[in-house]
Amino acid sequence: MHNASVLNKYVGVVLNDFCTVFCWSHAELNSPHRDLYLRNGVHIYPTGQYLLYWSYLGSILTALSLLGDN
Amino acid sequence: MAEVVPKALILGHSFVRHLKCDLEFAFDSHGAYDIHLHGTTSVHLHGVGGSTVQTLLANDLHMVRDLAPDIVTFEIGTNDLF
Repeated sequence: MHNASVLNKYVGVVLNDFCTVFCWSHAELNSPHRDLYLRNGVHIYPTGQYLLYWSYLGSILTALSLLGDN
Repeated sequence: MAEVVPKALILGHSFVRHLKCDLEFAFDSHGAYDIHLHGTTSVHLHGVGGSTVQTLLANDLHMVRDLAPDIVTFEIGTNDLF
């Protein structure tokens, strides 16, 4: 989790100079209050899939707003 | 004349592959293949299990070239941590 956080910050800094690029976080998937992962710790339950689905919608809508601005 | 809508590509690892499969089989009544964008955007998903940044660069960027999307979402990096 720590490595992921560090890498995410690094990517965010690197991409900060690009106005048409943004980093998106699947906040719900990272919540410690939910158990969304299968036993293998890698893949997610249908509930997680559902949250991922809505998260992608959010990222696409954000990207569409950037397209509109450009 | 048919309206041209923006194209969105979600490109990445197994999360994307599984979601694509689940959407094709209508895993949830609230899920739709167009991610609830109702034709305002054309959504494409391409996921490869175990994909890393390196393997995506080597094998999957053709999707961007072929589709020429307006939006690309990269779901990548998780497998690079292992």
